[in-house]
Amino acid sequence: MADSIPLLWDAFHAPKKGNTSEEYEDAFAGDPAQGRFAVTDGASESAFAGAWAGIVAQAYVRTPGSWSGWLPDARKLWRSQVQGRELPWYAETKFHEGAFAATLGLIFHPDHWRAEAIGDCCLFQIRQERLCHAFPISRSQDFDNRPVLLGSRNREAGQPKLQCYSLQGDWRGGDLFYLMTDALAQWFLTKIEGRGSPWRKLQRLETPEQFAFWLDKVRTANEIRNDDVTLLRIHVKKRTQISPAGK
Amino acid sequence: MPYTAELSRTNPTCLVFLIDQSSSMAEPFGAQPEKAKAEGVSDGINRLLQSLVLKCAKGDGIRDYFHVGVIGYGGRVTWALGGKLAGQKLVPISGIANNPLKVEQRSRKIDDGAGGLIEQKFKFPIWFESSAGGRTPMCQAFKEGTEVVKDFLGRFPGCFPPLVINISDGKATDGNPELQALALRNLTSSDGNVLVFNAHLSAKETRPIEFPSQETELADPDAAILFRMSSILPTKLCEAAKNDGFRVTDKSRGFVYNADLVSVIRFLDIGTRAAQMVR
Repeated sequence: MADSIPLLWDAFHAPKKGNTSEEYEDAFAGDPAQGRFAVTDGASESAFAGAWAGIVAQAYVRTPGSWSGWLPDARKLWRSQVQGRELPWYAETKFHEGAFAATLGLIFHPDHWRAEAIGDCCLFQIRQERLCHAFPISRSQDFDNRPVLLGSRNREAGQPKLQCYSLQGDWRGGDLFYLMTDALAQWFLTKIEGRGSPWRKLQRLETPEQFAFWLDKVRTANEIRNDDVTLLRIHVKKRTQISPAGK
Repeated sequence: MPYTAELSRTNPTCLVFLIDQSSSMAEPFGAQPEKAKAEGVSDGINRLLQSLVLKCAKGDGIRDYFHVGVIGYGGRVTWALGGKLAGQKLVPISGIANNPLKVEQRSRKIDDGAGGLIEQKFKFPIWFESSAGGRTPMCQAFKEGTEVVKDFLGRFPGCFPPLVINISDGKATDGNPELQALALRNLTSSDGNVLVFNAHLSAKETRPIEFPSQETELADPDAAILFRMSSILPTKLCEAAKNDGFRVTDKSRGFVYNADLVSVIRFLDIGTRAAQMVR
């Protein structure tokens, strides 16, 4: 429980340029009272991936404890959303292959935070204008590999073993935590490598319209790969900043 | 940089297959006496079409990242997809997906994860059936392919360059196809020249020569013609071939000589890899 941790959060998201909002296949969820947050990225080569990404993000945030506490039910829910529908041959084949999603979760505890990641969604912690942690990827060039992702079906024999990475750290009032899907994370790390402070730009965004305008600009300048984009921002407020009503 | 255009529904690319259907295609591959070359090629094309459809399938819809055409040449030149697509030239991949000639139920044995094997049923759609008869009007087939590619480029001038793959076991009986292939390779989108790849099938049990870099690697003058007709592999494909264990250089051509069935399937996979890099 993170009732006593003053967390403010919001999120911005956009589909790949040229796609409609119904075709957006990332997802995010947050519960500041529980101190749990998640960002997921449905793999575009799999089908029904947007649904899977949404189920995973919600289940992660709602269910404290280990992944085994929610993953079987999440997989069942995904199957139930597709099963029973009359599907053409290719959709049936894709359904049997399952959907896949990169998954990043962040949990706040009273004296530390813990992040867990499968795939290439990234977490950045910024404290006093400095990047303290980049997780699980810390170099922009490392986004080229094809990560193993969380599947909506049980792993079959012979498939690569799932690798879940985790990291712990401390939090303080004033810290910023940014959770991002891969294209934005790669842009972020490229800017860091060029000695920039990309969090300043992201921090200044206040409305979805400002986010859309900014994203369009960096896409037009070819600074960012054309992909679905999700940014989840968490601000740990300093206790003196909390009003008596806690708002 | 050429060959980097992104595939999208508004900016698709096209793939055209030219398939030799002359009488010699009824003969078997050297290393596989039970399989006629024509049958092996149709299996390969059907598998490739299936994998392209699956790349573009999202839920129960299909995104038209590709337009595909199959030309058969054996005696005469025809557009060779079957069923509802019979006679159609370039077909968007959604049209391919939704109109197979038939869908066969096949089965395969897979690992059950507990040391045993279980049978898994799967659907195998067929669009293209094998056929073999008559002579080899390869020049005419290239001419027909050039016309549709030209038309496609008019509609999508910024596309990832179209890819034309010619699969044959012999030489043209209607002239020297080098000039036709050159005319095709000279067509461009703003992202680069049209790619022409050739696969030569063999009835002999000789080692295939895959992605050669120099004409001198080929003793046969007919092979040298096919070599000269083939495009140099773009960087992305060269890397893909290297990653798959092929010995390639930056001068390697999209050409395989004396190919057996396995080699044709590997060739088709590498050849269409750049077009398959759909994210």
